[in-house]
Amino acid sequence: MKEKIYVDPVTRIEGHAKIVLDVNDSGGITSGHLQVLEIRGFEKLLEGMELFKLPLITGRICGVCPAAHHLVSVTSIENGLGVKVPADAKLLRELMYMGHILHSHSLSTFVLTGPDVLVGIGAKPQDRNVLALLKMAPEIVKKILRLRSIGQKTVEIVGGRGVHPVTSVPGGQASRPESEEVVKMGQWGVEAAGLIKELSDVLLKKLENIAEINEVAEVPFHSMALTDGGRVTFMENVCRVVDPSGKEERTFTAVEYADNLVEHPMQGSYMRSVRLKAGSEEKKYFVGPLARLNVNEHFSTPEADRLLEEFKAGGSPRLSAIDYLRARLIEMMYCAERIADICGSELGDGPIRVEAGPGGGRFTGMIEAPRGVLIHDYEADDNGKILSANLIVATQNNYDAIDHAITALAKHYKPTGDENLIMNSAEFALRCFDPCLACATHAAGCMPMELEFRKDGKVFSTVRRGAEG
Amino acid sequence: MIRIAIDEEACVGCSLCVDECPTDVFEFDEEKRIPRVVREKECFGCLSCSQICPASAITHEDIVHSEDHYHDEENIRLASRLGIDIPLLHAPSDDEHRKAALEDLGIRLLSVASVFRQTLGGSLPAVGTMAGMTLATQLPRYRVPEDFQEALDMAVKQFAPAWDLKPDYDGSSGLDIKVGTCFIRELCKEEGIELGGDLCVLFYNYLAGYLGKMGSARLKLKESIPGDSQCTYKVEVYTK
Amino acid sequence: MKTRISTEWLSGCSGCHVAMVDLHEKLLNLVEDVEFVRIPVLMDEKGYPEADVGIVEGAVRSEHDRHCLMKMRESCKKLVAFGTCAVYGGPSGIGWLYRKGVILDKIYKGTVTASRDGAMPEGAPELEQSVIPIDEAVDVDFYVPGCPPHPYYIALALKTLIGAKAPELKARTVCSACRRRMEKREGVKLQRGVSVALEEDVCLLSQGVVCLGSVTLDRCQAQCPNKGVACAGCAGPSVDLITEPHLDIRTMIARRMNLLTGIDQQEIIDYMESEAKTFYAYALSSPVIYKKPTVEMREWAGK
Repeated sequence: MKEKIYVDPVTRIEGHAKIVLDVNDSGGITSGHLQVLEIRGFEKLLEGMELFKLPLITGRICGVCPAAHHLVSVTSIENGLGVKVPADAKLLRELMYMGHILHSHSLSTFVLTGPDVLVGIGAKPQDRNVLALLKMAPEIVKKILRLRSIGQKTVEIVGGRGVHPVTSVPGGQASRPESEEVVKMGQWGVEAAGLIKELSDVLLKKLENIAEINEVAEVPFHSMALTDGGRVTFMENVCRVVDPSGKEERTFTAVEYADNLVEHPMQGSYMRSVRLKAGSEEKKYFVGPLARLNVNEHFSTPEADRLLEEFKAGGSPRLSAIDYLRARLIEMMYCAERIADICGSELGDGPIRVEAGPGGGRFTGMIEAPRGVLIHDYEADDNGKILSANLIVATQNNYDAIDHAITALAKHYKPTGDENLIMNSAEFALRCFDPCLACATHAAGCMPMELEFRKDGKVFSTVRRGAEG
Repeated sequence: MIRIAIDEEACVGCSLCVDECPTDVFEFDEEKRIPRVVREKECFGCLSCSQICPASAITHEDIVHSEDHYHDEENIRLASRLGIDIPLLHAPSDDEHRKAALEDLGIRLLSVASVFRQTLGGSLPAVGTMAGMTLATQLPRYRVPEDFQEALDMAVKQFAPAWDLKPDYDGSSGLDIKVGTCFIRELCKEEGIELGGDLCVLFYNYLAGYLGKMGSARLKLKESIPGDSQCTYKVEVYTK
Repeated sequence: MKTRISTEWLSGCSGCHVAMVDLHEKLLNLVEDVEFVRIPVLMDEKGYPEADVGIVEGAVRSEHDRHCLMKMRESCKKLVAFGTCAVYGGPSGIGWLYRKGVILDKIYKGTVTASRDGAMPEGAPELEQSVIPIDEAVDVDFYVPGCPPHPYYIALALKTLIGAKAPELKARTVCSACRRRMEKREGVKLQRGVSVALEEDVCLLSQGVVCLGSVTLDRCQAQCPNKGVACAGCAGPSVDLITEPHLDIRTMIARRMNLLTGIDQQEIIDYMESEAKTFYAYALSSPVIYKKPTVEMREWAGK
């Protein structure tokens, strides 16, 4: 191994990061750790803002999952004020959100992580990206982009804008799509289901090539996700935690989140890990698509339920980081089916907005972001001015799991001595969780990733991929 | 004559321009819901209409701004890089500015310094210090410097481009300030004045007063080394 | 020869990069005209290769950001500040109101879920004292504000930058693209702190809702007001406000709203000052705003 090697920056994830690996005397890897290098401090920035304007500004926490922040913000405010949203407004929000998850999952699965699976973890960096893939397999890439476009255009139609949607307001929706647009989105839903099926086949076949590391990447932690009595749900509901054997550990609601979760700063990183409080001890867990499937029994659409049954037949709960990719494919199918259903028959022409406000107090909401449980918690005075805010974001929940998976894969490939492979396997493990570091530190930035090998706390080798190798 | 153009595509038909114009240049076309320019020669370029227009739809051509009309040139430069299609007001270049400033300020500064020297004698440094401290308290400040180092950084920005200051501060008491480009030096060269004279004393103390006030410190000059293209001040800093 | 494009993101939300992907089908045509040499969201290029056009998203928050920005400036012939964070500081720029220690203390010690030991992160890159837009650190050749810029304007800007077309971007405000009818009314009350359904086709200012459309550059095609949500000013101030130091967001809105509805100007100004953090959220850390008579922003925003 060369004296100094760098992976700077980590690419194809959302945010600034660096990976550090601790090595023992015999050259084996003992532990791995992700470090996130940015912070904006939205908890502080929100103080003093107008409560009802928060859904517009919190979306700006993240450009990849703005709809999640937008919705949880509105949900929190409505919870606090006790406003009941009309049924059609709920459906519109769900429609927008399904489009959003379709966009986010297809971006993660096919554009960011996809090239690792489709081209190969050990392939040359210049071949391992979606632009190179465009030259190799233009038809597949066009389908990938089309699928993401369907999701994002749905968000744009219902939410008013693609990135940073705005139409969800406390009390309901500010506007509804035209009826022709609803018909169009319904057709998109059907089209998306077809595209997902086709693309899944390609990806799942390639996943068999790396079946040997499926077990290596297992993370023996609890799974945490929202549940609607056993049904997968993305909107506000009860949060359920199951242990690695699938047994229920606890359930809690949004307002009880602070009694159940605690955040810890990590060495060299602005991102904090979140753990479950359990008496004097703390338990590690993961969230996201895989956790949602582990915690729940079924969806509510036929094709997604069939795929889920197939998935669960291979053992449940599933714990491998690589299973995240499979879970995402199933959820995408659910989203496509829901878009078709909502636009096809469910959406009526009833009222979409009730009056809300003014008021103060505590405003807490919890929904499932594409990457997992997302919690917003505000306190406001009687004029609706924010006194304090707290945000717990999906990727933070996965911090411990990410560290675990990085370590496992790096350990697995260390004996090969192939630097490119070790580095990208660590990056790949990270990408499986679709980390959104913009969200996680309520910051973002370029994403320099460095792979540092440390012994007794001292850096002895740093890995960078690129021109200097 | 001033010509007024209305971007009809952008106009939202609010008729606020009709209300605002002091010389009744506009009339409102109720049918098409847009304003019409009917008495163009009455316009004297007060720009009330284009300022009130919510759509930025009104532009003026051949307008002569009075000198008092204040524009922020840095911002005009920013606006010109937005890729927009409207002609922007003429912003004088840095060179034009410098020349004008040299001519104008130079004469005043020289006479002020000589009056000070004649009437106050040895008190010249104190005058400079006082002037600097006054500047520090009166200049609008956008943030309060946290420490002396930050005050230095702010001063470097504040004094550019007339003075190119390169401070070298060790964090305790030693501070060397190298002055590259210097308005005073240019002035001295132009007027054939020896470097290190009254103007330099005034300037150094002015800078020290300003820095001290901003950074909550007291500055004491140990040595000043004038040079043809660069002067150096060695200073001792007592932070409170 | 294809135009070489390199992109980078600093302290922002990566939404501007997503907006570029939102060119949808047009993106594929674009790929034929340009060559992306560095685009961290898609490619594994870790260095800073030479490029004709550099596109930077996000503001400068940490020393690390500044370092990346310098590298971009060195490696690119033309540098574009892309998105409101890069041009004016954007929401990241709200941090300009605080010293860095205040922000870190709040996050690691002041929240209900912060660990009880109050430990701070060690070894992460130092934050700069304040947040700045990128042109405070390097020279910028072209500005494309918007949060994010609408794909229509991204396409126009890119065409301009790769030399395919002369600039045809306009200096219009959001109002120019809004389909609502601005009309004068009587007996309208200022709406604050409530969320109620609004009339479909009438201007929000005429209805007593503070909408920043008339003081905001149109880089969005007025999507928000057209969909019934008041403009939040996310593309930054209009050209009038940029070039004229005495015009300000709160005073211009108050004047227009007063003319349209008769609501007292001072009432509107007081409201906007008390919610300064909301109404100035996107361009707070830019000298374009803080050099105006808005220097008391810290007091308004309640520090």
